[in-house]
Amino acid sequence: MINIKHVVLIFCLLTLTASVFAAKATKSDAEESIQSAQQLWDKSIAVGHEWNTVKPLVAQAKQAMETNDFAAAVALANRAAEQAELSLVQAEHEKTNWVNNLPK
Amino acid sequence: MQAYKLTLKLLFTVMLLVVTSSTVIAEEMDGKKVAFDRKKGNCLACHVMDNGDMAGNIGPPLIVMKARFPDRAALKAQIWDATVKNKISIMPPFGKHKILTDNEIEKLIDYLYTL
Amino acid sequence: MKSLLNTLTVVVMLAVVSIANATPEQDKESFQRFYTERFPDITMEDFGNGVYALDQDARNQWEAMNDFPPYEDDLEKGGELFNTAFANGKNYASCFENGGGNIRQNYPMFDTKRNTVITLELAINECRVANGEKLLPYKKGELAKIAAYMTSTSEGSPINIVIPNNGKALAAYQAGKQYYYSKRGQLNFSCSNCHIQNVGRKARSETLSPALGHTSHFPVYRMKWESFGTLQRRFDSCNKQVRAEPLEGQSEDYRNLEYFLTYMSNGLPVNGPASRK
Ligand code: HEC
Ligand code: HEC
Repeated sequence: MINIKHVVLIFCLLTLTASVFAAKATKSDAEESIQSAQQLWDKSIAVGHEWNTVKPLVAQAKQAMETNDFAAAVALANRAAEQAELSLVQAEHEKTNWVNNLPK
Repeated sequence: MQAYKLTLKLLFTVMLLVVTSSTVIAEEMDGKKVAFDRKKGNCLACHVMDNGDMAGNIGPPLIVMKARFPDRAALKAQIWDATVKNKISIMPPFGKHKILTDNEIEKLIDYLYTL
Repeated sequence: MKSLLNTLTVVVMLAVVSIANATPEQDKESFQRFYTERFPDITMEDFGNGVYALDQDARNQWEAMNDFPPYEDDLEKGGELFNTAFANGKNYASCFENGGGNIRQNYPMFDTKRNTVITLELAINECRVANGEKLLPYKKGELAKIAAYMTSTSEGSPINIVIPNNGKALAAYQAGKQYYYSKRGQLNFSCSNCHIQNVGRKARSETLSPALGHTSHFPVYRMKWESFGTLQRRFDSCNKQVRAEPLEGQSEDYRNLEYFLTYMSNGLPVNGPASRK
């Protein structure tokens, strides 16, 4: 005997499990995100355009990882990566744009 | 029947909790705070505005914004990335460089329109 | 029509390339002219006083403070350190021309054998190592005191940076120049955004000082630091303001920057060490 209530109930259970799984980043997700942030950060140092906002984000990501808060670690590492990437864009742009800054 | 109702109610509550807790509840900041805070917009470093303390004079005073910026998108563009209009602008690209979030910029603009 | 356009494009491109690749001498002239035209009432010498050349109120306070310079003890200590013999019996004087006196104005210099820029601080540490002593930390501490003492012996001597007409020296100069004019940090500022484009304006309550004369008086005793700091320590402060990560002391980029920036002040008298807020 299947009535509508059952369907709703099952649907709810499914969404609940799905949302719990989706929110759950694993340790290896966190490790991966931190590693790719680190790589972009290293590149930004190499081109001489390191932002000082990146280091603390990576440090916070590692800290979150230590307390097993993998979702936070991924989020922080992604912000670090995004900013390191922007600093690389800046470096590339300034290769030609710097000339516009000369005194006129 | 009664049992079903209860279970359903419970389930909905749990779902709601999971959803709200997984979206980061950022601390709310109003537009004026975003503009004045040295770690956020720090607009006062360069702009005279709203009788703010120790304002700089690098950029033009931010006054009568509604009349001067009838187009909200144009105002947002200036805050998002001032270097589009002026390649060597000293004004930081608040949106492009993630200095402020999109949400913070929207609130900032609401506030600017009160000036 | 098309050929006219082409010619125009070439002319414009040449103009751009030529400012980017002007000779150091031409750069220095336009750099100094920018400030002397902007501030016709300020003497060349006074540019070495930074923000106090522009802001009379700040200058009055500064002059009152300098009746008893806050750096006196540290400067004296620098003299003692300079004159103390190393374990091997030699001393700093043995490493430098003229016994280390009145030479500040020649640094940084380009070493054509090693093809690199040698700052005074680097030379001091190299002198130590050559005599079996350990390296001192750059930017502050004993090294800054010794450099401050050496600077004091050059009081009044015109800055005299030489850029040998050789590819490597010109490349070092050019790298320093490019660093100065490039935007960096999350806030996206170049040094010139503040010290050239907006010189004399106020960021909050801070007047932005002219870059002409920026290097004439270092090491500086900053009240904020409560100690001497070298020019590169000041680079750190300015980099942090724009959310750029400072570089290692005496890294190649910083040495090149110091080379470029000091050359821009050629002809101004050394007037250090000095105090600043
Ligand atoms: C470091 C200095 C600096 C800071 C900080 C700064 N600005 Fe500006 N701003 C400028 C300058 C200079 C201009 C002139 C146009 C240009 O060069 O981009 C300007 C122009 C503007 C304009 C256009 C004004 C007009 O009358 O045309 C607006 C709007 C503006 N800024 C808003 C802001 C807001 C909002 C903030 C803070 C979130 C801010 N600015 C922070 C320097 C700054
Ligand atoms: C956001 C604006 C800003 C930027 C960008 C900036 N500075 Fe500064 N700088 C200041 C302020 C403010 C001071 C302290 C007051 C003064 O002397 O203008 C200062 C002081 C200095 C001084 C010491 C001046 C003295 O009289 O002793 C030097 C040297 C200097 N800056 C070099 C640099 C260099 C090199 C860069 C680029 C790496 C740079 N600055 C970028 C704002 C800036």
